[in-house]
Amino acid sequence: MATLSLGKDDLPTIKLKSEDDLVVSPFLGIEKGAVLQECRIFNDLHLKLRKCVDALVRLLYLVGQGEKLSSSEATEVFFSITKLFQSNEPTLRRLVYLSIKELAGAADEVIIVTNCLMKDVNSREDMYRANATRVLCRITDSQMVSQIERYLKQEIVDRNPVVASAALVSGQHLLLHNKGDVVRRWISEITQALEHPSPMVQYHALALLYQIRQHDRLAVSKLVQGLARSGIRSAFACCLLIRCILRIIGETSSNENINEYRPFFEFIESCLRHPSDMVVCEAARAIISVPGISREEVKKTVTIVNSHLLRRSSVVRHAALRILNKATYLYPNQQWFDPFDFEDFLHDKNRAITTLAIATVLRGAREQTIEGFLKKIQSKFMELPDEFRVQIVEAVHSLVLKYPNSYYSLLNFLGSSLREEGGFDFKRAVVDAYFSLLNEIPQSKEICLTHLCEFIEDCEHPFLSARILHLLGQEGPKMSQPGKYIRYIYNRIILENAAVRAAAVSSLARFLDENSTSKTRKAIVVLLKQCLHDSDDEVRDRASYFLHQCQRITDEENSLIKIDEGEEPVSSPTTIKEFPHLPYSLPELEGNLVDYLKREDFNEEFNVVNVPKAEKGFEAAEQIPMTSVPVKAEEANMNTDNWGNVSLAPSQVKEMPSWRDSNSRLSEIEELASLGIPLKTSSSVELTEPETEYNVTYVKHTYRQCIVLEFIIVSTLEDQILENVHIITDLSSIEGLQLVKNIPVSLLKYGSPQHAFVVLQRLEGFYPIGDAPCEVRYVVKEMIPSTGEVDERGFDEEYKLEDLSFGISDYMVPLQQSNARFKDIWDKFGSQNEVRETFALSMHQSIPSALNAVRDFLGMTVVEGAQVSPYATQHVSLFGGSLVTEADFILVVCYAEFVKENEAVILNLTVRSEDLNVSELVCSAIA
Amino acid sequence: MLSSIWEQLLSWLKSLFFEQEMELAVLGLQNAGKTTLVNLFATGTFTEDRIPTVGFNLRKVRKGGVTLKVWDLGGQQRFRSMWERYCRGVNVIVFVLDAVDKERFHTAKLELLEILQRPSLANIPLLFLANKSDLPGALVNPQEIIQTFDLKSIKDREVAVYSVSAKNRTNIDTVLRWLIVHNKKPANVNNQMSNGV
Ligand SMILES: Nc1nc2c(ncn2[C@@H]2O[C@H](COP(=O)(O)OP(=O)(O)OP(=O)(O)O)[C@@H](O)[C@H]2O)c(=O)[nH]1
Ligand SMILES: [Mg+2]
Repeated sequence: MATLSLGKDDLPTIKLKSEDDLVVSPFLGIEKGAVLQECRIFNDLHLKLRKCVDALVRLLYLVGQGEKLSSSEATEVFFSITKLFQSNEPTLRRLVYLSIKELAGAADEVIIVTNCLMKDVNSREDMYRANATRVLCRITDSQMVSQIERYLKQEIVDRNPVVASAALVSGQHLLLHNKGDVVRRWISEITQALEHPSPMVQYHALALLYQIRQHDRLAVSKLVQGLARSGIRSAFACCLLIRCILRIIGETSSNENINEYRPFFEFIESCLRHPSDMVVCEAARAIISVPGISREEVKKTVTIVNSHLLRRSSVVRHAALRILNKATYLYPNQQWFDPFDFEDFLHDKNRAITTLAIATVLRGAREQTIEGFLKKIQSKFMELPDEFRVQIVEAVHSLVLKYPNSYYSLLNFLGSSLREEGGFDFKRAVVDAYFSLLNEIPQSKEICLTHLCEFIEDCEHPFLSARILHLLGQEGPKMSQPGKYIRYIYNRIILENAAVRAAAVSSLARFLDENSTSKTRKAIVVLLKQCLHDSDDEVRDRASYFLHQCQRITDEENSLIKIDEGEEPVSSPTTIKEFPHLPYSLPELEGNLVDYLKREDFNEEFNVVNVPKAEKGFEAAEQIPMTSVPVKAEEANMNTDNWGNVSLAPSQVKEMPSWRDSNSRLSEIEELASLGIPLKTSSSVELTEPETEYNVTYVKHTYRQCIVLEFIIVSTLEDQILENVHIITDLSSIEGLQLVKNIPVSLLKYGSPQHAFVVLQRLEGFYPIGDAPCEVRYVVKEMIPSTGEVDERGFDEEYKLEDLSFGISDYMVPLQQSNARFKDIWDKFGSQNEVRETFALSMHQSIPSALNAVRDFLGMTVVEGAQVSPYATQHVSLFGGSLVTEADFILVVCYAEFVKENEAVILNLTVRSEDLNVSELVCSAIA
Repeated sequence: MLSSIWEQLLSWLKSLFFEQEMELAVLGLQNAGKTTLVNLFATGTFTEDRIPTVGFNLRKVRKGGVTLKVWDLGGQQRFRSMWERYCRGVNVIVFVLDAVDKERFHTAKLELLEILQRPSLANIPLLFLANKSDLPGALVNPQEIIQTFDLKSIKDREVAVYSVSAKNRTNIDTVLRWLIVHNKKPANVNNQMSNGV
């Protein structure tokens, strides 16, 4: 029978030379350029088989190691490989198949080998047929697929299992990559394949059938019902079937329907007696996660799982433990096992099992037993590698939150972990736990800070030291003995590297608040003055900045002279603020400063107003009603990302900086308090023409599951008052948004702005985009302005507003600043999750304007290439953003190439993310 | 210099003992009859069925002590840009024309001139076959063909023109003979127009 994998003897090149027991890889020192050069021999008139095989093996090795070929390199080598079809040597042909599969993503015009592969699909060699089929579906496109369909369909019912499976798997692949509408026509062949004698074919057939029908609940039910009754031999298929059933049951909402699925459930139960451990575990996992399942059922299942804990195979042990772990998680108040039975696991050979066992016990432990257990594992804990210790730290962390009263013994455990040897990730996990506990359990603050102070005395990770110093600056002054922390902080200034010293200076300065005694103040000033002689610029700058601030406060207090208003927005009269909030895009500011230094013309002052390029790409911002801010500053603020802002909190508000602080009343509305802080707030948009009776602007606050619209309404009519002012939106043309709450303004008087709110729920999985008509409704009452007398007979009225609009940017928050490099993320997502599209942006005449418009439209951050000259004809920018989902964020990155052509800008946009659907969503949002 | 003489001598010696091999690229618009012709060369029979070539086909044909390696290329629009990759280094470029499809003569001419312009293909002899001469209305007169396709303007390579029919096997043997003889001669740069009747 044909095999699909390469046997050892197929690779004549891999000869392991052993010299003094030292094994040298035959691939040592292989280099891309050389291999590509070597592949040119495929074009020779006379093929040298052996050399061709060698070259292909090396090429595959390179690609397998993650080496990236550029599109032109891949195309070049791909076309050379196509010439190898002239040889019918089986080894060579297999390598050709493998290489084409590897290159199919990167090379252009791979469709050219269709004919050659079709010939192989029709050949008599089963190995050729199966392999060629798999390659064929990789290189085909939606146009071409109809031409190969009929062969695939035939192969599904082939007697040879390898061929049938290849065709079925290819069908899955086609469906996944949206080339597969044809696959839906194969139902009867696939159903036939379910009965194939080979378990592998059964499994693949079931997987494909389910994939085709997964959105048709009724069809899936029927399929499952049939199979559950008749039984299916393949263990894999059995597991898959269990998963399908679980999904069906999970989707069933009401209790009555559960009965309908009783037979399904019985099938799963019968699987608990299946000879294969894999199936048993799958079934057990399914049973405990069925919503509303009875305790007896869970108990029965857990008993079976418990018996698997003693199996020889560590995979089975691990799986069984995971199920128990899940049971403890789902049914926290139940005792599923005796922790003392778990002692064996502490000595398990497999560390993953040890860790999971500890985490499981911790999760299910009763409060009284915790302390004893922690003592027991302490020594074991020290032996584990970091990644496992991180898991245990997390388990301890959640335990503290569960039993806040036991925080003392748990903190002791964490404290000793801090003293142990360990890498950065481990230490960070522990520090993270402290940070969270400190906030969750206020009475633990004192101990937490003490532990952290001790930790920084001997911490080799500047990143953690800086974080802790910042925390000390924040919390220390509020504690009963601030002096204690000052000493710890000052020690850092003497002993650490520049980054930590700078953080320590800032931290120290925080102790200069209104409560600090003059003695403390004097001491700090002395300490800061010493820092003026530091060897590092940043440290000196910070010290002199804070000293300057301090001086100002002292002066102020002494002379009681009021500071000129608005002279220096960063100084508040009594407290030192850490650093002024810069309303500029930091990369742009940096670029401008570098330019300024290069010009070396220091007679001219650096003009910060020019920092972000003034351009007219952002229409909404232009309409912001501006009052006191000078026009130039307005322009300057308009295109600003707050790069300095590390958090995901509203950091891309392109507006006057005052907006967030003063204009939004979001935080004052009690009904909205449960929502928390929005992930993002849009810039404000006018909904009325200027100089009309009413003036309405609105902003959108983005939350995970909803959008809050905040309307600011101003009446310009002196002789009336409005009551019950509320906004009515018509969401009928936007799928996936639902009105949940409408918070009206009860009384609106002339000239005083009031805020109305509309809360919209975003249905799961939807990213609604489009325009929604909208109007404001109210009751008008006449009033005599001079006397304030109101005519109580009001009448209903409405006033039409501009349409509201929702775009992808409403669901996108700017990239969190992280250590990951763009390129790594880009490569990680890979070309399989990539969507490419070209747009003509005819509204834009220059690249900067197009760039800003695209950025605003996508709601993303420009990671690279934010700066571009208005005269540029070509430019590349990298964008990044995080799409908000119900529970998480999905990272999206874009490679945007702008080309100026005549009167328009052409945009070639390549989008990648974790999920192809998301890439498509982002790309299609532009069109 | 001496070494190059040696090399020539060596290759001549080799040619006495080993089989000759020759590489052809067959191109032309879709439906011209390329695959049909190549099949005919290979098997000696005319097969009627029309399956467009999606990509390319490779055939090895043995004729008179010469092995012909033939790249039969798909003629549909989307494959034309890839012709050049399979023409590099061949001994002869064979361009096949559907002699009755007058509407597409212009396109055929443009594609032909385009491919011959490629620097990588300079000096490679061109064999121009006007196929389907059996059909009424076919363009069969060599002089007319040369004029219609402006073949006189091709100066940098040898060009041969034949009117053929795969169906009736008209001129097929002549073409094969031309190819085989051609391989024996070193390809020199002259613009000698040979043409069949
Ligand atoms: N009457 C006639 N028909 C021919 C002749 N040669 C080929 N045909 C027919 O022309 C049609 C196209 O032939 P193919 O050989 O498939 O054409 P092709 O050039 O390979 O086409 P592509 O692969 O799409 O580029 C077929 O129906 C052939 O039977 C000929 O000499 N006379
Ligand atoms: Mg063909």
